Amino acid sequence: MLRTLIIFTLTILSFTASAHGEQEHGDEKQIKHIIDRIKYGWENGDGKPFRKHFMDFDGARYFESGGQNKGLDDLVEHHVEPEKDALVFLELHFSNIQIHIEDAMAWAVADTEVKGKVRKSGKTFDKTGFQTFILKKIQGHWKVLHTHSSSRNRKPMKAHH
Amino acid sequence: MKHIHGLLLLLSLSLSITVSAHGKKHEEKVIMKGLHTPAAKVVMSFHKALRTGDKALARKLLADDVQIYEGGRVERSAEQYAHHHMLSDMKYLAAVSSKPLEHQVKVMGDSAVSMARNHTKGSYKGKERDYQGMETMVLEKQAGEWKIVHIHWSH
Repeated sequence: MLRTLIIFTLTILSFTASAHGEQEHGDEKQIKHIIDRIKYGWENGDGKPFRKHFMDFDGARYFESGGQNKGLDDLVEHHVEPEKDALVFLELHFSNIQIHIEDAMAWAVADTEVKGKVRKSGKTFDKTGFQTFILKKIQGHWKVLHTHSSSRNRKPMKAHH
Repeated sequence: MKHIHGLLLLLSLSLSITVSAHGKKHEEKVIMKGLHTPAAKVVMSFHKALRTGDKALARKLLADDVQIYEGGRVERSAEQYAHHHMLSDMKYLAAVSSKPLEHQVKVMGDSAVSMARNHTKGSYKGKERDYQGMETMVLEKQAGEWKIVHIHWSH
């Protein structure tokens, strides 16, 4: 009887742990997909991924190297979409993505590389930096609450002798 | 040293949460929210500890595995920060003044996020400083205490 009870308990625990692991894997997959869509949105001056995956609210703030956009409309209309015309091209790469999930809140950090060319001046830029994403799970879907990016010019590679 | 700049950002937030929009044509909507929460108090205590040079308190409020981004650099533990930039940050913050512009803290269960913006002005090592800084912090409740697990400073 005792053996049956132990086996039953272990089975339940194992099932619960497995379900939790799968849930977390699903959450990470969803958050990685959102990050990928954000990359697409920036590179193509397309506000749709932001409209879909960001949660707009009174007080929404998106920081970038000492500047900010206030609210989702400001981010999309005054930052994301204008870049389509202002830049000849923009390449954004996220790497070393780390996702931390705690119940209904998640934060993700990534290393960033951003390259582009300004149409008006013809100047190019090549920067490296970091990105922070803060997300909240709402009705089963992760939504971006806040972002913070910062970067600086890429350091020239040292010559090896 | 440059990394200090962003850092000062909010440090002074704990000085005052009263904000005025003097000299502006249109009054800006300024948000100061969630500052009464225990998580926010940890953020403000951390600012104060940096400003006053309280190394022990600043270290205590950081999780051991805190990740700190500043000025394109990263520090991946509290020990690394305490032995590298914390002391220079403290010297810098003691030399300049910082005025809070906005600060919001959202608590979600045992996690919290702090988003803040401030204006820093002053002179340090013969250079004039005058800029807006941004700060994002993530906190987690660990063994009943709020700890800072991530900081992102930029300016």
